[in-house]
Amino acid sequence: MSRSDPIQTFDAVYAALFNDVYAYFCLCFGEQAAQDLSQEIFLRVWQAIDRAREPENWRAWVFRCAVNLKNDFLRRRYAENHAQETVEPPPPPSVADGDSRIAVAKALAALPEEERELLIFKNAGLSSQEIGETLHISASAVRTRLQKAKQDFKQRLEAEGITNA
Amino acid sequence: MLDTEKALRDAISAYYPSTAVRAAVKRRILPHSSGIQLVSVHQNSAAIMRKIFRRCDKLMRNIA
Repeated sequence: MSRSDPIQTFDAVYAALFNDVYAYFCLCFGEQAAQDLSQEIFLRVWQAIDRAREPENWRAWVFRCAVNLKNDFLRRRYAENHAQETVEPPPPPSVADGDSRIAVAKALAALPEEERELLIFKNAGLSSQEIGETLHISASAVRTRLQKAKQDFKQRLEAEGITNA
Repeated sequence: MLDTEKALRDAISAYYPSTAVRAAVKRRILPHSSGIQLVSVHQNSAAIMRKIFRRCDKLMRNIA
């Protein structure tokens, strides 16, 4: 990524990471909040580029921001509503290309929040070390929990009747 | 044979935004940029600068 062209740098980061950041927030809070929160993340990306404070690793930086923003959002909502501080069950995906894709999405949505988060980060290309730094746990703990998350996901897929994907 | 990695990719991509949403969010972000672009030229810089300032001068006169 070129440091000399801010728009080009922004485009590259946006193209590489927007979908995964949006999916992360969408699974946490639904589509409307996902738009607002993703926008906030990429506004921070733009500001970092504009102020020449580009991190060495955009992927890790962006997801660290996403986790912090998610926690802030939960705290704000808790303070406003005095509701229990939990992540809402995500809405069903709005896809129209086959039952199997909806079924795998439901299997993912049904996982505990922590497992879902780990799987999303892993799928987005973060290493165990980077995930650990983002969630403030060790890389070995990440690997152990990821293993369990994958196992649980597989079991839920089988429960949904998906035997080949 | 169940490919968990592929199933995971499919599951997450089901939550990806539409092209319209991607474009709309980007449009909302980029107006926050200053709009100033740095241009470097290899030759004729004096002529280019004269042309830019002539245009600026004309605009300012029109405003005045």
